[in-house]
Amino acid sequence: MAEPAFKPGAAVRVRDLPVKGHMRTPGYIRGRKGRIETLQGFFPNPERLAYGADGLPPVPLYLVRFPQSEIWPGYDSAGDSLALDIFEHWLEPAET
Amino acid sequence: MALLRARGLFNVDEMRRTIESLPPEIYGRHDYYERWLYTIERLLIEKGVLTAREIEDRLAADG
Repeated sequence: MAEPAFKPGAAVRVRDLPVKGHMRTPGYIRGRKGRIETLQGFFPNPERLAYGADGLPPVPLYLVRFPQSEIWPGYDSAGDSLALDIFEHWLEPAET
Repeated sequence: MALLRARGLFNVDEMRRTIESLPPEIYGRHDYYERWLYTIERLLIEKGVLTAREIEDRLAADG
């Protein structure tokens, strides 16, 4: 199994991939910046399983935490955050 | 449902994909398990296990 690309604490941005078929990353989080909280494990890719493929090799799934102010314009409660499970192919490194 | 999955006829991700692709008028008019039923039918047809005609004929016979 490949090494996970991101370590806990790493800054990441959610890739804004074309919307096509069955996806496991919600639209509102695309392009937003967050931080890797933890690696949840490796799982067969559900976006391929959805089309009858075996989803292998398993892909890393991370818990990524986003400040609410990063997601909602004008959000002013700085301490609030949202954590989402996001597969590695949806993430790219971000500047800190 | 459990049997269909255990037999490897389809997986839960294929179900989710198929539920998402139900036409809005079907999705909006039916409840949770009715959507499952539509989805099971569609997947079994997609995979060539049953044909739409076989399902229609059987329903007509039982009616």
